[in-house]
Amino acid sequence: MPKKLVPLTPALFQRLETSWRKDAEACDLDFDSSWAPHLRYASSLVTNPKDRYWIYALSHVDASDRIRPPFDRIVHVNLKLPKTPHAEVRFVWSHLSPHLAAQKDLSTAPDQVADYMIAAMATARKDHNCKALRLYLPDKIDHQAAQIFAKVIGIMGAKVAPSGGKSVAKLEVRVVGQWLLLKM
Amino acid sequence: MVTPELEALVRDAWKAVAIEMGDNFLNMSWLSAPAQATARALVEEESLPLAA
Repeated sequence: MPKKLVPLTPALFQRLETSWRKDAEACDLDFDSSWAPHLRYASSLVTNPKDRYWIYALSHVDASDRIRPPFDRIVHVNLKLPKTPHAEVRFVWSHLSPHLAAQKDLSTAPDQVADYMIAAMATARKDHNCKALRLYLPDKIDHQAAQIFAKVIGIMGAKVAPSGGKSVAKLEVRVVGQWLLLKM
Repeated sequence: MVTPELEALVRDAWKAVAIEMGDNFLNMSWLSAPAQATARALVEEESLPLAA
């Protein structure tokens, strides 16, 4: 089952919060200190939607487009310069679920980051018709990882032949300030 | 559309990043619980204005 970013409704948000609170308790993590402040803010956006700001959650989605929890992370998304050639979807902050935050496994961590990025790329194209997106890099470590990612994409080749197609799909990656900029 | 080839490229690239960084990769904020002391401040600070 693929993972997708889905915009949270109040009902879905309630499911996510209940599930994460249980997970945090099971993993002996402090939900009230670490997750609750973010979720309170996210809840305010979910219940009182603002133009061009959204809260998405990353989760499995089945063939009928039904969401199949657990929820991997929540993401605050906004849209810059909509309806212009310079439109960009910005993935501002992202918070991992307690059950994944407790894992800390180097063998699965790259796929967690890739799941987020691939879903963000799909959301930018499908939900917002944008070919450009930015992911925020809050810490030095994120910045370092993004720099290496950009270098690796350059080495592996930015042009990838899509299956069965004659044209090439292109991915341009750059670190711009505190952002990882992707152009598809 | 994210093609399977593009998806594979992204996955392979992040695996390479993890190999390069070792255990430090796990300290990425994208892979961590929100910082307890700064959780509230981060929410406000990172909610950047659209014009930024």
